[in-house]
Amino acid sequence: MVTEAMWTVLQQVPNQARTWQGFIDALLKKGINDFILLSFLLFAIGVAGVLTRRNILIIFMSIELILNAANLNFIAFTRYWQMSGRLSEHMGHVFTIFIIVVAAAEAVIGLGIVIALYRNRQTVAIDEIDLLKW
Amino acid sequence: MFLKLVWLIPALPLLSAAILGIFGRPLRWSERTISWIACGSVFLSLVITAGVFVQYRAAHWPEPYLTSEAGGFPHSFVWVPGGDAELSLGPRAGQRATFRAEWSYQVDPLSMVMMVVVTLVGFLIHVFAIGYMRGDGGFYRFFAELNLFMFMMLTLVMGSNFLMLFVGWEGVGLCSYLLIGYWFHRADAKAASMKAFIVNRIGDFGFLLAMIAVFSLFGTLQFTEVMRLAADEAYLPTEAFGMFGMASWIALGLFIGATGKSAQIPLYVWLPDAMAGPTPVSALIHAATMVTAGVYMLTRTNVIFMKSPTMMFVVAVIGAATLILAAVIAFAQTDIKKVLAYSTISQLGYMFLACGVGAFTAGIFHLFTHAFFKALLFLGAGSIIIALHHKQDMREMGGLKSYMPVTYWTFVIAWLAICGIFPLAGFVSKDEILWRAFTTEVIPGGRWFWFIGLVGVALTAFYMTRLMALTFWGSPRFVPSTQAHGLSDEPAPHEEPRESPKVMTLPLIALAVGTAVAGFVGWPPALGGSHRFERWLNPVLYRRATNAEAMAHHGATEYILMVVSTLLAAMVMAAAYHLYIHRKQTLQAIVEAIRPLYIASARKFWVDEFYESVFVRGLTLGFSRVFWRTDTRVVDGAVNGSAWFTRFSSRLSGWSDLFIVDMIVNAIGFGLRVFSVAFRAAQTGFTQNYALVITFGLLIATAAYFIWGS
Repeated sequence: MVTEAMWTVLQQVPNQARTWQGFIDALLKKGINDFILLSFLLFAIGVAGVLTRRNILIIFMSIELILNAANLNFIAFTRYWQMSGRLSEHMGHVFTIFIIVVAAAEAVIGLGIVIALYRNRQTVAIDEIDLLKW
Repeated sequence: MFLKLVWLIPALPLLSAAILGIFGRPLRWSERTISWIACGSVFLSLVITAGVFVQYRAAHWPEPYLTSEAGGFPHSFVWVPGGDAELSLGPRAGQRATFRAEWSYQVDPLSMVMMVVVTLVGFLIHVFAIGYMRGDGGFYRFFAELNLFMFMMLTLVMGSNFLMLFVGWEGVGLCSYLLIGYWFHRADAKAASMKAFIVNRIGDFGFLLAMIAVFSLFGTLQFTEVMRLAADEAYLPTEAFGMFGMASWIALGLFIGATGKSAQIPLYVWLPDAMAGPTPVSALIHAATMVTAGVYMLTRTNVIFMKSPTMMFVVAVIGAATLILAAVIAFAQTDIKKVLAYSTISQLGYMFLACGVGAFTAGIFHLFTHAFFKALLFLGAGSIIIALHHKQDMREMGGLKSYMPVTYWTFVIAWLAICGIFPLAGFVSKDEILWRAFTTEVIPGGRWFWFIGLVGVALTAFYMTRLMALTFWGSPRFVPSTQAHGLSDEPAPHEEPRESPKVMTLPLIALAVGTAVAGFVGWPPALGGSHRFERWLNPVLYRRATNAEAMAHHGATEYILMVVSTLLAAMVMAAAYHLYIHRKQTLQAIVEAIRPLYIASARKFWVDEFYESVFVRGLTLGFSRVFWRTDTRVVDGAVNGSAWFTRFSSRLSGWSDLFIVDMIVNAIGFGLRVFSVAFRAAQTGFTQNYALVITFGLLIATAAYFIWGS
C-alpha cells in the first residue's frame, strides 16, 4: 500500500525533479502529517526498545531511533515551513547536523563504556547493572 | 661593511657556546672539533673587530658609532620598553621620562680598545687552552663556558647603555663562577667560586643603586645621553674637594661596583681564591679582561667621576692602598698562581690610581698593556704547571730555564715588562701613570700618590724577580714523581719536565710580541712619541679647563721620574736576583729578622680571617644568634601561647560540638533517615525504571500541554 502510494506520488513528479529533494518536496505538498506519523512511529519504537530490551547495545540502537525521529521532525518542519514561506533560515538543518555529530560522539563514548563494563562484569545486560541504587 | 657586522662580534661566541653546550656532550665531539668551533668563533670575532677598527677609524672617529642610530644595523632593538617614570633627583625632578633600554652596540674609541683586547687576548688564550685542557673530561663544557664568557665580556664593553653593561657585568660574574668552579669535585674550587660570586654581589649592589640613581637623575641609561647631560655644568655641578653631593653618591655606587669586579680593597679577597680555576681561565678572566671591567666602567662614566674630586681622591687612595697591600702579600706566597693573582690586584690598583688622579687614558693604557703581559705570565705559569703535572708550589720548582726554553724566554719578556723596564709595554704605561699622578691637578697630594706608585714599582720588581728565581733559575727542586699528581689521568711519566706543545707555546710567543710592541701604541711625547693612544681616547673623556695643559707640559721632570723608576726597578731586580741565587743565607737572615712581617705577608695579613670572623662569623653568626634568641623567646613564646589558647578553645568547642552541634546533626540525620524510607524504594538501580519514569513524565507533560496548553 505504501509503495503504491509512493509510486503514485512519483508519477506526479516531473522528470527533472526526480531527486530525493524533489521526492520529499512532492510528499510535503500533501501535508506534513505523514512525516509526523513516521517520526512518531520511530520515536515510539525507540522508546519501547529502551524500556524493554535488556541488551545495552540494542538500547543504544533504540536511542539512535529516538534521535533520528527528532531529526526527521526537524528536517520535515523546516522544509515544510520553507516551502510555505514561513521560514527562510536553515535552523532545522543545523540542529540535525548537531544531533548527528553528538549522536556519533555519544556512540563512541557509550560503546567505550560498554566495552569497559564488559571487561569488568562479563555482561552487557542492563538489569544486572544496578549499583546506582543509593 | 664591517660596521654592519658589529653585532656578530658578541653573537659568534654566543652561538659557539650554545652549540658546544648543547651538542658537545650528546654527540661526543672530539677535542679537535670542539677546539675548531670554539677558537674559530673567537677568531672570526677578532677578524670582524679588526675590520670594524679600520672602518670606524676611517669613517666615524671621533664620533661614537651607535648601532641604534646608524640605521643599517638590523639587530638593535628595543629591549626593555618601559613606561613613564618620574624623575626624583636633580634639576628635572618631578618631570617624567620614558624608561627605554635598547639592545644596541656602541663603537667608540674606548669600547674599540676593549674589543681589541678581549678578542685578541681571548683568542690566544683559547688556543692555549686547547693544549692546557687536553684530556680533561669536561673539554666541551670548558670551551662552552669560555665562549659564553667572551659573549658576556663583549656585551659588557660594547653595550650602549648602563643596562647592557650590567647584563655583561653579571654575565661575566656568572661565567667567572662557572669557570672557577670548573673542577667542581674539588672542595677549594667550589668554595672559591661561591666566594667570588658572593663578594661580587656586594659590589653589584652598589652598581645597581648607582644605575637607579643615574636614571632618576638623567632619565636615560644611554651612555651618550648620560655623558652629554652630565657634562652640563648646570645639570650636574662640579663639586668642591671634600664635598659629597649628587655626583659623589653616584660615583660612590659605581666605584663600589668596580671594587667588587676589579678586586680592590675591600672586596679583593675573591681574586686569589679564584686561582682554583684552570689556568687559562685565570689568564683570561682573572687577569686580562674581566677584572679590568671596573676600570672600563670608571672610564666610561668618567664625566660623573670628574665632577666629584672627593670620589676621585677615594678612588686614588683605594687604588694606591691596594697596589701596595697586594704587592706586599705577593712577597711570601708560594703558589705561583697566587703570586700572579696578587700581582694582578696590584696592577689593577695602578689602574685605579690612574683613574683617581684623572688620567683615565693612562689607566686604560695600562689595562691594555697589562692584558698582554699578565696573560703571558699566567699562560707561562700554565705551561709550567702542565710540565710539572699540576704542581703549583714554587718551592718545588727551580731551574726550569733549561727544560722549557720557549716558556722561559717569553716569561722573561713579561717579567721585564711588568717590572717596567724600557722599552717594554709595562714601562710605558706605568710611567705614564706615575707621571700623571705626579702632575695631577684633579686631586691634591699627587706627589704622594707618585711616591706610593714608585714604592709599588720596587715591590713589583722584587716579587716578580723572586718568582723568576724560584721557578726558572737556581737548581731544580722538583722530585720526578712516580705517581700522578693533580688531575691528569695519564700515567705520570718518570721523566724530566718538557717544553709544552706548539699549541701552547705559539700563543706565548704571540703574547710576548704583543708585550714588546704594545707600548709603542702610546709612546709618550717625552720620548719622541705622539701620545697616539691618548689622542685616540680623547673623544670619550671629559676634560676640565684647568686640566688641559697638563698633557702638553713636560720636560726635565718627566725624564727624571722615568729614570728614577726604571733605575729603582732595575736595582731591586738585581738585588733580588742576588739574594735568591747567590746569597740564600742573607735572605734567610733577613726573613728571620722580619719574621712577623713575613708571616703576616704569607698569611695575607689575616684579611680573610678578619672577614671570616667579622662578617661571616661576627655579623652573620651574630645576627643568627640574635634571630635564634628572638625565635626561642618571642616567636616560640607566641607559638606556644597560641597553642595553649588553641587547646583551651578547642576544649570549649569540643564540648559544644559534642552536645550542641552533634545533637542537631544527629537529629537532622535521624529525621532524614525516617523520611527517606519512602523515597529509597523508588531508587531501584535499574536503568530502565528510570527511563520509564522519564517516559511517563514526557507523556504527562505532553498530555498537560494538550489539555491546558496554548
